[in-house]
Amino acid sequence: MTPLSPMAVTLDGKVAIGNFHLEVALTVAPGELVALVGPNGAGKSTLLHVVAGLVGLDSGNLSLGGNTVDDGTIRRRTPPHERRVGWVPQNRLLFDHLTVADNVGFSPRATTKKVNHLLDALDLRHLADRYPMECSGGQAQRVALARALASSPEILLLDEPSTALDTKSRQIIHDLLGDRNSRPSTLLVTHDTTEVTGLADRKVELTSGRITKVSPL
Amino acid sequence: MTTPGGAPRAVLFIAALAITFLALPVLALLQRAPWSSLLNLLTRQEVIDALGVSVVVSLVAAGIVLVLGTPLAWVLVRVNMPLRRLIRALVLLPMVLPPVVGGTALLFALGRRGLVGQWLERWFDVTLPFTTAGAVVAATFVALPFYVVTVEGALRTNSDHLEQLAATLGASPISVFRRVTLPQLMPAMAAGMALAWARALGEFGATITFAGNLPGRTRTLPLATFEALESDPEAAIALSLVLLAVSLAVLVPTRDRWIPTR
Amino acid sequence: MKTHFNGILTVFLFISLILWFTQRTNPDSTLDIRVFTASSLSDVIKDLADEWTNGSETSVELVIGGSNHLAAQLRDGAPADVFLTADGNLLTDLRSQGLLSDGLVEAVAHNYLVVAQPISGPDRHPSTLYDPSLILVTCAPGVPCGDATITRFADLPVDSHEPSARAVVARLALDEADLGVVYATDVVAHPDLIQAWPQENTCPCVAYSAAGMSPTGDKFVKFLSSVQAQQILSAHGFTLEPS
Repeated sequence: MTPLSPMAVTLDGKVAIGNFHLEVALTVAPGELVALVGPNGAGKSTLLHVVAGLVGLDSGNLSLGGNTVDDGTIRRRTPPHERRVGWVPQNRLLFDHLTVADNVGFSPRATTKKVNHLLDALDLRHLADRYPMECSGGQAQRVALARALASSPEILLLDEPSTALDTKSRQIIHDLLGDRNSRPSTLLVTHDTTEVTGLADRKVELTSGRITKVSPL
Repeated sequence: MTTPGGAPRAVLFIAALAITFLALPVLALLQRAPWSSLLNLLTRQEVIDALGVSVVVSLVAAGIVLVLGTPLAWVLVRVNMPLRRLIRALVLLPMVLPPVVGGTALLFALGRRGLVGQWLERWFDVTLPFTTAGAVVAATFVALPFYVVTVEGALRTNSDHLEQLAATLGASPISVFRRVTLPQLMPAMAAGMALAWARALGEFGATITFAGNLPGRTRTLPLATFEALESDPEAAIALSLVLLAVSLAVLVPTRDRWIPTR
Repeated sequence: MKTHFNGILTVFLFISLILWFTQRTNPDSTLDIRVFTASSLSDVIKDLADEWTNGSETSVELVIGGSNHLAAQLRDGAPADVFLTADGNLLTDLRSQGLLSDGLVEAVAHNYLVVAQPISGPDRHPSTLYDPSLILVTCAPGVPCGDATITRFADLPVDSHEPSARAVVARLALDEADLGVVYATDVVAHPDLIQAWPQENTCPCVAYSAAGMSPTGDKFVKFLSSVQAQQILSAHGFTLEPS
């Protein structure tokens, strides 16, 4: 009997940041794309921060791929650089002092082969030697996504990747995310209903720090 | 850049007063300069010696400031440690302490009979007073806060999100510091260095109190100027002009903005 | 328009206030006598001033500093009645600029140079004066004690040229130097210092002159040659006639 492969993400915990309280229990299966929706300030970005390791749980537990990375009760956390997460924040945070190619290849885990593949897949080849300052919003978003994917993450965390993006960039990103064979387990924060219906396997609604609804799609 | 309707006149007027206040001593210096005998004065051995000592001392001090000051600035901003406020005040202390007081304190700490100095002498046969190294120590002491304040200011305005993102990509803390923090900080580091170097170049009180005054070894341009004032005012003016020229040569091209923002 | 006027007026008032204030800090009193004196006389001049005040009912305002700086102030017009210095060149220069106004100039005391050491130092021998491994400090050339040092001792392995004899004394008192050339009066005045070895009082030495710059000043200069004044000078270690 083959053992079940562990969940990509198992989260059951609480975090308080100032007056805001986040309390969630959530799992993401390997290869699954879960859409996180909800009003602004609901805690969606914070949830991503917790998984990425930028914010620690106050109580509860977070495991990635079956390994505990954050034990809230004893306050023991694996630092972000030892987790295999790819985080693409809303404001992308590209490294202005590096070229697009160097940005994509920034991760110590990135291989030249992977970098080249992603540059092509996201139509960034012609920008390889340019700097982020010279890129449009859509191009920058693709660079950020490529950079995260190049680090071979086990879980991809996307914070509103398609907001205010040109049609072409959206299409390229959706094509990439839609390929179930090549994409990692993903948590996608979005306001875009077409993204939810088109890409997600499950929809989780978050309101005021709590999960209010879970719907399979 | 100006507000609609032009710059307010009262503001311009006061700014003009401030500029006059700063420019007046410099203009007076230029006016008194013995232009005809200047070349003669400038090629004297004592002037060349003083220039040499000043250049060496200020550059070495600036280098030490860079190495010590960058981690210090980083820790002050990014590390949440107890007594942070006290440490920050300590860092700023050489800025507000009269330089002679600073030099005397250095003497009590690192002099031959100093708190630590006595062990330096006993165990390593190292004395700092009356040596060029001592002049470097004095210059570093007064210049360090200027660098730290500049770099710290830049670090405060740049949030650490970029570093956090680099960490999620798998870069270790030291790797993040080297590949993300430092490159982002370069403009502020350059500005801080210029400021610290200028301060080190102009240092007088701490140098004369701690390192003493000997031509070719510890007599920097400021010290030589002070000594010349006693006996040879023309030489003093010539030395002042050298200081002025060297300072302007470095400060004018580099000080475009105080704290460079991204 | 009105806001501009208010702004300029404020600045104007502010500047006027500052100017008025600085004028006020220079009162002119005919009862004070102002004596500019070299720093090496700072201890003895206080006793001399007290003696003068007892006898004449005028108080003495002392301005103490390096002779060169004092002379510079005098050249720039600072008011003074007496200038006490060891630097004869300065007096000649001031006379040529008409500042001494035919006042009296008299030699009042002499001071010898001695090689001193911290009291905590080991016994030393005259040959150690030229030992390069010892830290030796002297006055800088250009100040009276420095020039006298150079004339008296040739080619000393000096480690620092201090701006005044007081500064040399400070180094020795802190035990940051092994040997220093100071005034005989400094050794008398400081318990932390001793003569490094038995030394005779010889010249080249330093001679102090008092220059009167006003009629009141002349009276003070005359007083300095009086028996009482000479006794005070003697008690501090100054000699009256060079040997």
